[in-house]
Amino acid sequence: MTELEARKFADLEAIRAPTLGGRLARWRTALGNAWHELRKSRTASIGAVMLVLLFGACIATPWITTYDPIKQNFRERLQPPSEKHLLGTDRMGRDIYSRLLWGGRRLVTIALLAVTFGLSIGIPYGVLSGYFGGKVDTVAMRFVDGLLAFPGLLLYLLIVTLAREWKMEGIYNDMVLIFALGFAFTPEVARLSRSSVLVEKQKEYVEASRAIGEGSFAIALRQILPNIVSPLIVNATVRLGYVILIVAALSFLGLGTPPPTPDWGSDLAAARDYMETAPLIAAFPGLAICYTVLAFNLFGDGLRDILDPRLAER
Amino acid sequence: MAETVPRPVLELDGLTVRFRLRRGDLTAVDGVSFAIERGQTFGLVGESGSGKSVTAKAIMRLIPDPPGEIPSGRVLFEGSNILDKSDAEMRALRGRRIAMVFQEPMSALNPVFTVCDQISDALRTNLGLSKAEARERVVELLSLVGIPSPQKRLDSYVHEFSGGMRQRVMLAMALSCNPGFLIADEPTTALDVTIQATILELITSMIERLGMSLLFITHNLGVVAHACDRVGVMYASHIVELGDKREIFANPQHPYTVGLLNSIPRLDGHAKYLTPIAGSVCNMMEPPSGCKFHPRCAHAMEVCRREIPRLKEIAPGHLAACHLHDRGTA
Repeated sequence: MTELEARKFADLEAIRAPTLGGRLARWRTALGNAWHELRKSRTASIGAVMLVLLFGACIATPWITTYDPIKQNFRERLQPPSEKHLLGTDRMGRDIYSRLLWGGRRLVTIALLAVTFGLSIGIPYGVLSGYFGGKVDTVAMRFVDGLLAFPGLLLYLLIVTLAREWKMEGIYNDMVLIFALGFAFTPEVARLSRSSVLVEKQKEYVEASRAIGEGSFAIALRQILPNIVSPLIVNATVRLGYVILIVAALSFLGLGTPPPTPDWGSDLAAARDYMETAPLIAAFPGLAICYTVLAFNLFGDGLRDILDPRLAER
Repeated sequence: MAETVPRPVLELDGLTVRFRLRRGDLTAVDGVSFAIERGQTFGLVGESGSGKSVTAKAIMRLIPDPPGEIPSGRVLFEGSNILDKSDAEMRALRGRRIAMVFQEPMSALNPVFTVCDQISDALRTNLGLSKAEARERVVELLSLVGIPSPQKRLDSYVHEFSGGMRQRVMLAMALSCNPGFLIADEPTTALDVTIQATILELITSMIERLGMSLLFITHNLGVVAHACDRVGVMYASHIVELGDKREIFANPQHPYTVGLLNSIPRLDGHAKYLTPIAGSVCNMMEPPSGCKFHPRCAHAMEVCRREIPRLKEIAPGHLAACHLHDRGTA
């Protein structure tokens, strides 16, 4: 390759791979650009702020809570909000503020893992199916159609009941939940990525990559995939809110997390008995669920407006 | 000239490409044969839809199958038939031995990658270079194709370049793995007229400098006059005339070539008006019988309706497919 005598032009110092400082600077510009884009949509900015608060609280939980969320204290049952207990206590005298934060931390983690699991299976499945097309695609998509025909809630109930039958507890129970929620998300992701690939693979750069000697897998996953992430990001964000709602609903029905683990759904269910005497106990987990789902939905909707200007209503 | 005839880099022998569409079969390339010698620039000229690009894609084996198929013909690249190669052999050939420059530099470059990432991707898959080596090589390539201060443009995205600069990037990418043979599919068509000449100049100088052979596809005879050694004129899936550039321009033998040359404005002021070719390109789903050009041809005879004319040598190295030339031999 030295027969190209262009080396004299090359300033070798300047072309070294970027240093750590350079990389940090690039990240900072990228973040700055992202924030600039985000501000185009008020919905997205509100959602983003709400999400930053939510994630901040989840991360900081061990430091900003003062009580053990499962420690019972019968001398301080059903107390209204006070300086000692910011949001009061429940029927077992547990600090609601602490339970809310610990429960949220767990809930958000489960939702993130479940959605990541769904994406990591659904994306390669859909992308490869769409890229290779033909018979592979037909068979793969009929299978997805079959999965989509199966009602999600029924699937969760089935899997959760099985887990209970098999005496799975603690972390195993959570893993089963994550698996069920992620699995139910897979067909949707597969379809969405496939349809985006069908559009994208017609573009000339795909042919150009083939002409320069790249293989099919490299083209599908390295060249096409980065071009179709925006609808997937939007979908995953909205899905996060939905997953949180489902987990809360399952716990509310007594199928999710067994007590005494802090959980918004089961706390809400337990608070029903005190609706008349101490309605605030039910209000807090309810509001928490509301806030979280709203945050994800606002952010997701706003993102869609930013990423796909054709859909935005102005 | 040496006594031993050097083997051509690329030789097409009766290449036929057909698309099976729902409405019926469409033959986009029909029995096309030509050869490109080492170091030569071959221009393939024709109207839109004449089968030029399909020919190029068939050489690269980029015809999607289905619906496309190649029922007959051979494409000999350096002596071996490309159509017999496995997909893996083909991948090894693409980029490293044959490369291609596309018409639309905007859509032929991936919008989500920087120029450096894009070109070094090719270098790393084909030549196994490390990230740093690839980066250095990209700078060399970019300065080779005349992009000013390449080290500053390395991490720019495609949309940050102008049309002409994009085409330079495209060319740098095609040249990245030192291919011996380049296919340029209308590389100047999407560009500003002022940029066209620059890019054309760049491509021809690269070819000369790196000792490559070039298949140049265009509908612009001016470009052919400037860049090519030998010319093939295509009309409705057939090659109708084939010869050295000088021969074709000075002594065109096929009525279609004559028509094409007459539709170019001239500066020496012989003709007051341009003479366009009457009618338009035939519908390739239902091509006319016999010579595909006969409905538009001023010299059409009875035989043109019945028989497809064969390419015949009229002068040494100059071939035309027209019944007008039968009379002398018959």
